[in-house]
Amino acid sequence: MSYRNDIAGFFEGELGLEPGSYDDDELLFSSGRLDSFGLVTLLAFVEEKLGRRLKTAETTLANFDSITRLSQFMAVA
Amino acid sequence: MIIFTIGDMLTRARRLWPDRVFLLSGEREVTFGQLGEMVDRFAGWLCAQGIRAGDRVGVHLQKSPEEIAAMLAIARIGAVWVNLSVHWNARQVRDQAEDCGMRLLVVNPRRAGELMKEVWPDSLEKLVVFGEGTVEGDPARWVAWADAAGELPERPSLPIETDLAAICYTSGSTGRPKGVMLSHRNFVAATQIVSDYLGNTEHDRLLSVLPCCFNYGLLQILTMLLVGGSVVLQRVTMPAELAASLARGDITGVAAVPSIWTPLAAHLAETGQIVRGLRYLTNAGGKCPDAVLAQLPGLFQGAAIYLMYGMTETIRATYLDPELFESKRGAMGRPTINTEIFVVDAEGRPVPCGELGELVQRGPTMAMGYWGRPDASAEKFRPCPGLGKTGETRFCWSGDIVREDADGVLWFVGRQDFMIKSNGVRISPAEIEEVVHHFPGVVHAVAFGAPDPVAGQAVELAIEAGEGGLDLAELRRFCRQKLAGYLCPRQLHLWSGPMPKTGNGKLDVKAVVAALQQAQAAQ
Repeated sequence: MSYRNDIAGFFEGELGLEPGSYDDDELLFSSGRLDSFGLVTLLAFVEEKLGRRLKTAETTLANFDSITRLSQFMAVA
Repeated sequence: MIIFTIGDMLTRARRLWPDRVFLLSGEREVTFGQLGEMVDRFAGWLCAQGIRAGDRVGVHLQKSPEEIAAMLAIARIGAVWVNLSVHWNARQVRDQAEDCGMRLLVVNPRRAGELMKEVWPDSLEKLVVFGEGTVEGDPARWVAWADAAGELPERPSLPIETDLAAICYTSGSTGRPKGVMLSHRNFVAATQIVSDYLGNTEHDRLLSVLPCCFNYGLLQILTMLLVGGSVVLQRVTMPAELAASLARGDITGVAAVPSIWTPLAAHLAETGQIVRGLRYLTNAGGKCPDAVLAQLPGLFQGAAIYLMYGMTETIRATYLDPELFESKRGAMGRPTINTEIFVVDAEGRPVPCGELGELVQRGPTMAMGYWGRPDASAEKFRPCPGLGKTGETRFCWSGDIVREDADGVLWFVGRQDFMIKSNGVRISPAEIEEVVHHFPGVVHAVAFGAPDPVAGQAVELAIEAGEGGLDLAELRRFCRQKLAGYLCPRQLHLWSGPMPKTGNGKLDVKAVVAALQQAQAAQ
């Protein structure tokens, strides 16, 4: 199951990313485009979608830093 | 060489340790010598642009060697840096820039585009752009960082210690953030005081997690500049990323706030990781939950733990000697050297030991005042009449209620006013309420801090709606749009019926907050 569209919808609706202003591989946290407050809101969304609490070890740039990475992480999480 | 100004610190560092690595950023290493060259290049360009002593130049970049070079270059020629948090949105940047009459601003490409499109500050002449990405906007209004290079005049005019070095914006209890004016002397004194009690040496390598717009974060850079140590720039504060950086094994010190320590401690406990080799760690920017403090010695073996307290207006006030961590866990500690603190009543008279009073402080780290706000400055920085001769001089009235115990150790009790402290940042309820009032249907709005195990306090909002009622989901979206992330309330409460008023007709904020807290506790 691909979470890509849910994730993009969340970023646009809740985190203020303008549609068309980003691409799926763009690094969002390490570039500073999204801040730590965006991360907290995003974690709540991810936990809700996955139906479980995330371990802090899963909250890494490798899993969260772009839409592509996050969708891949959620697909197997 | 005697150190009077921030520039002196860099001059000495370049002379003594030109090839020693000072900043580490990803794979990149910058020596004191190289940083000095970056500073001179930008300072030379600033001079060529006609930037004079006292002119305000903004820096609004993610943590990077360029951010630091920009600040030091501005200070080098006696101009005033204004480091604006990357959490501010474009509108807030414009407001701050206009408030201090900023002439130039260093930003990333995206923010440059936003400023040029809709919210150009009145006084601003040009942007300097650093970072990846294309800039959308009139090329006449910006220049790339790489092109902002020049030669300093042979004998550039230099600041003296009493000159303004920076304006640091912080929230006050009414509405718009105020610009705290800090001199070279303020920064140098704070750097000397802090590096002294932390025992900083050239062998220290600090992990820089906190932003430089925050005095606390800036001190990691300045202390290492003073003693010839080094700093690893850590842009991302996700606990797993921090743990990975600590696992490098070469970090000797970490400074953070409760909202970083709490998740980091949880992560280390979850993964069974123990950090060894850390000489010390520090906490300031709020009280860390005791449950977290209790875990720290086990997770950071051998590390000395310093609990500290300060305000933007005085940079640093107290610290708890690590030897007292166990017996006085959770305390603010004692005043630092070269600083005097009293706990006083409303008339400025010292309260008896053990009783509650407001913390007042005097010393060389005390700011010069608030930019453009003589009344607010006179209110915050004024004599302490109950102290006799000592009280005739300027003190900073902290607005924090504290208590001194029999051992001279200070304990934080609460805030004088309604300020919220969330993730180490001071938030004025009025900032949020003023914006929320623009939403149709809002009759009264009360923003307050609710206890939060990670942030200390989290922002929540109570609303009294008009007759037409109010769509909370719409209001939430409105908040996200108009307010910077950190100001957005995490919970909205629709108050049923009219909110209580005080005797003189004003909103009884205390009663509203108390009622909501009771309702929360009952759940």
